[in-house]
Amino acid sequence: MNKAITNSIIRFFLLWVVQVFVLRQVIWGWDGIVYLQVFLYPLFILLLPLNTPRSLTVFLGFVLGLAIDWLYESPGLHAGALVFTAYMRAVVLGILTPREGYSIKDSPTKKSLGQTWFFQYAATLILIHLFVYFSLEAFTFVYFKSILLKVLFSWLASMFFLLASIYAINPEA
Amino acid sequence: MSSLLQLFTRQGAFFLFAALEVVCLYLIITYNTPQQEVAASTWKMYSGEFMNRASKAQDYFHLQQLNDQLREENANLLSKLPNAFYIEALSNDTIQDDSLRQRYNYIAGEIINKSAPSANITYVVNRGHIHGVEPHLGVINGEGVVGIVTQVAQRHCRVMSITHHSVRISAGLRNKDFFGTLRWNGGDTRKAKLYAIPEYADVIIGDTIETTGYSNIFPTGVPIGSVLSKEINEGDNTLELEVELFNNLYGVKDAYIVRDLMKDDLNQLDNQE
Repeated sequence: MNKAITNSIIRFFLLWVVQVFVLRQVIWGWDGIVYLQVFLYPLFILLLPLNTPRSLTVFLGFVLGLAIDWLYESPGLHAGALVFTAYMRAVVLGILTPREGYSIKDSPTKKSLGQTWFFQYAATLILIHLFVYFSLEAFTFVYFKSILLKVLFSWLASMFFLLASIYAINPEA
Repeated sequence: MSSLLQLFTRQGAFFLFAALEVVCLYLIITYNTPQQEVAASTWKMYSGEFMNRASKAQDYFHLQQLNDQLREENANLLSKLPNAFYIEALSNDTIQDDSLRQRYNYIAGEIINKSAPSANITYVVNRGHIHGVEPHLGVINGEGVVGIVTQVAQRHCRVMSITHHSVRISAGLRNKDFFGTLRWNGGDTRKAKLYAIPEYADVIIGDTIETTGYSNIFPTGVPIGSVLSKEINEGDNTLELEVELFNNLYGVKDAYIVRDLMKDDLNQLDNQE
């Protein structure tokens, strides 16, 4: 079995466990509203091999999202956001295409595509994911400012954890 | 069809994405209370507005039908107004008493038309043949004598008032034994003249003039008017009384047609002569 696939399968379960048992505890807010949450699990979608079919990416996003929702007790919420993120991954990849193009066997990692590229890639998709997630959570744009605040704090925290884990492990695929 | 399949395979990711998002939204709305509430209130808001608009539009479609319905209802209500009725019912007052035999009965009617204000006032009363009205019947009302029936149709009759040139009424003084003939000579419709009262009659101004009942047209004692002035007619030594009529002949509304049940009996006497 391909190393990228093996790594992805491992990441699927690892990120799920870390998210629902560890990072779920990391919350911060005021006035009874949680403004900061850490979402590391989109990293699984981010690091899928470049040649993964788009449909498969979307489907895997749905499955992981539901798995997260199962223990977050919010059916559909994380799944909806992650399906959107998974669908948008191809768009972001298209925008961030390096001058020399992608090597089809690569995975979109820091090691293969560079520090700056990976930061842009992850920052954009995490932002998209958080925005969709908090919009779905509020389910209305009446409290748009609150949504933006949540996105800002959670984005900072999530990016911290994401980059920290990438720098610590630095996977090639 | 093949192009549709092609589109589906090429855009499979998009369709899968859309389908999964729909599933997610369904899950969110079904199993998450806050989102469910937001969705429900939003749904209510928009559906309420939509229903409002829809019912408004529907009202326009039903306008024609509604108009017809209202018109029908109007006609129905109009036909229930009092002026829509021709009163077929008769209210004949009859006194039940064994020692008394009914002589007169009254056909209640209403004056439905009057001649233009001029001499020789005539009326139309909404009673005719089928109610038992005949020519030469008297007409009275609560105030006193009104006139005499001249022509009769199926459901209506024409009445000439006492201020008509051709009316002669046998009239006398109340509680005094003198009587004469009441006639109108033109002029003021509030006044008539009573002729042929003996010169020696002690007439006082203000005496009441009433019918005598001798002519078989009116019952005895129906008031006509009061004496306004008296004048001696030099030729035949009789008094000529000016009578102010009780009835305002332009204002009358009710009409009771007097039917003399013993007219035939009395006519026999005339024929035997």
